[in-house]
Amino acid sequence: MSDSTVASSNYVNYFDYKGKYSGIGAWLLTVDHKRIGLLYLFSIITFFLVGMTLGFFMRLEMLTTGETIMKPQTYNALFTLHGIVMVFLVIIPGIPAGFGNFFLPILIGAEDVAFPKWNLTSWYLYTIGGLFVIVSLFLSGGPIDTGWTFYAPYSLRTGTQVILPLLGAFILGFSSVLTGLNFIVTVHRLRAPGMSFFKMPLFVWSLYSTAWIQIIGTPIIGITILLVIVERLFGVGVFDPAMGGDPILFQHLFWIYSHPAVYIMILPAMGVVSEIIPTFSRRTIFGYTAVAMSSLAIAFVGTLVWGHHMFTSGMSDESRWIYSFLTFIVALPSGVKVFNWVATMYKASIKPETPFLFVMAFIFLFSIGGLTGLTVGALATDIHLHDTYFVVGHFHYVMFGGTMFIFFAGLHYWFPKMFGRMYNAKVANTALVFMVVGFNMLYFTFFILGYLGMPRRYYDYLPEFHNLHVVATVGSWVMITGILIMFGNLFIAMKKGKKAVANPWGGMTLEWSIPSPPPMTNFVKMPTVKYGPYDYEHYEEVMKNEH
Amino acid sequence: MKKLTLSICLILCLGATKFLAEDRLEVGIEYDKKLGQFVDLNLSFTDSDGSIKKLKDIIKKPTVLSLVYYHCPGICSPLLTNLGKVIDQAQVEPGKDYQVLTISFDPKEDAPLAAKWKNNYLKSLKRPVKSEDWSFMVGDSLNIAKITDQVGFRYKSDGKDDYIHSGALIVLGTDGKIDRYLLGTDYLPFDFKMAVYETAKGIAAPPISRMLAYCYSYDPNGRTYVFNFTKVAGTIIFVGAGVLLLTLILKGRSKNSNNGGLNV
Repeated sequence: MSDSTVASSNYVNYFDYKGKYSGIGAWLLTVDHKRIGLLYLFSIITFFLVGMTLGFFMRLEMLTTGETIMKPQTYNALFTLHGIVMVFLVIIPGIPAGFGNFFLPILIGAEDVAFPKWNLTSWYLYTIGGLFVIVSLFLSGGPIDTGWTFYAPYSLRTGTQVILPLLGAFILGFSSVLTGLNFIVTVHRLRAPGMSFFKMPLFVWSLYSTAWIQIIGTPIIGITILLVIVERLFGVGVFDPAMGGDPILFQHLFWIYSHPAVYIMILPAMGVVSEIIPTFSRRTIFGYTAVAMSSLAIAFVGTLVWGHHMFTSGMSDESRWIYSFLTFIVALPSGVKVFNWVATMYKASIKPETPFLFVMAFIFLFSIGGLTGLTVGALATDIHLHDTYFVVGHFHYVMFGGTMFIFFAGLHYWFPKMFGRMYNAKVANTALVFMVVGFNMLYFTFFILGYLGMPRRYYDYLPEFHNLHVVATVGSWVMITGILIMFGNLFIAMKKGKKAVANPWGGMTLEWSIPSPPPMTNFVKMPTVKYGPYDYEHYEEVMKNEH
Repeated sequence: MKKLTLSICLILCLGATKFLAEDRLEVGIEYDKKLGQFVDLNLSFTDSDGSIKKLKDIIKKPTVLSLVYYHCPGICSPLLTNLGKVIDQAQVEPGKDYQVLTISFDPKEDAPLAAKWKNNYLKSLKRPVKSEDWSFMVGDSLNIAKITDQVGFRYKSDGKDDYIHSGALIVLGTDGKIDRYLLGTDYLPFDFKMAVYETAKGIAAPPISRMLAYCYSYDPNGRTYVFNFTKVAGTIIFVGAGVLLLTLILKGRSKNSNNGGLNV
């Protein structure tokens, strides 16, 4: 396709499309996967800003020893809600529900997902679940203070409002399963002619692997949550040791889901990376099959390592070294991905534009996150570091430096496609610099604090930790400045940005062969796929065909 | 009519659970109710040398109180052993910054037994601790009832010779004020130091770790129900996922999804 805007006369784009409903109804009652994708993206970004604000106040509290701006109980509620909002409402749905919904059908040459109405239902479930969590803040007993892990028996005994946020998480689980199911059926049933499994873009592969973890893992957390609710309401002793229950069983059930959930978070991000790197390197990805299979391998091995969250909770030595060993194995498929990305960039003609720079930041941060993962995955070091700031640093590098940075990369990569407008690249790059500098000031300091013995979730600390806490808090200000600049820039671009061309980056996957913003039915003419997703030697031939 | 009966039953059930839930804690530690309150320093207990002493004659510094019984088969020994460990490790000086007090809550136990235990534990310490800095005491049922109530330590007899109870360290100020609970039987030197520090300053703060350890009669048969449940749920999930995958593979790509036009 030539680099010019496609005349909008021969199709209606999904923004201008007039359906049965108009105004707000055209969004809230839509079954179009692109609009649902945007509904998700806006809800997710809103919740992200809520979670960020909670984090900001937590860091502010830790600026000085003793009470700075809040009481201990408020602090307990803040770190719990920060965790629940960020994990369940932002990171888990972030890339699959947001970008997945928008781009999965386009990437495989389909008009929509397999079950468009379920798709809208799952957004409503997501919203209701999120509202439950928010509403629980204002009910009697006060906001939940168990930490996002809801560990028994404390979650069974605390006087705070536990049942409503748990129900919220339960409903979110349904949303997650519906989306997963929808994606699996879509990938199997609705691929365009010629789009074999091994011609699918790698983002689709990662969504497909993720969807399987979602539908297998999520029911387990659902059942666990129901058991906690039943135990709280009716005093059945499942997890409470005072009633003959087993609190360790709760931890097992919780992590059987929640560890694979870590891969629900990171796999789609790795998929986005596998899209962005070939596009900006103008080369086919190195080791396509290896990258695709490593997604499945991570999904599989990831379901067997949950015990590493429980090294210090009482477990036989044998299970501990087995879990530790299995944890190390996850590093293999992850390493396969990183090395293949680097090999793709080797001797390529790289265009260092904003999405690519975000990916570079991701590789740097995620590598630190991954390597410190080995430190806490190894038994001996974990005994020392368990429940310290080191662990907090590790999972912020992985979840935030990993998944969220790629969420932002995806925003910058697909923004011109989604909105048909371009953002100011200089401002976006400046925001990235602020974010990376602030991020490292904030979370690298956590590694040092944790190594020195600062326990996580503590409201107060000894004077010797003061200076490092100041560095971290100032870092949070720098990072938040960057995030606000980034969103401000995108918001302005959405309203006033220059018109974007159909293929601003020179991508080869199907979404770049259609106009920006995409037509209501995605493709003006339905595609038949002949080459692999990143076969740049056929770039000219492929781009001649407009869809 | 059916609906009415059903709803009445439901209301009664809910009411009953509510009543049970709000009742006084049967076993455990009511730290949230007792924090910042005072222990009566006029209560008297028998020291391991047989002399009867009032608490106010003993408590001269911030005091780490532990309630155990000496012939306990469960968590009391680990609790005291871990207390000894944390005394060795924490960067606060026993006898200078704080003192330790262990009281048996079994009124049947006597001073010679306390002396035997004191001897055991003092010997196992790496740090030199003077005899008066860690007292082991016993008491009569009235004084025991009073002190356990004042610190919110709830326990019950198992009907035989033992008790169902939980473990914690309670840090008292010199005025008898309850300033901090360290719950469970495992203590971090950090928490311990912090607790002693802040008690010296008179700051009452809620416990940091809220995991309680319990000493309870364990019934392995009780677990089978739970495990069957997880097995059944797990099987359903995996069989369901398997059937889904099989169906999708057998059905393949939908023939009428689109007919395709151009080569890409």
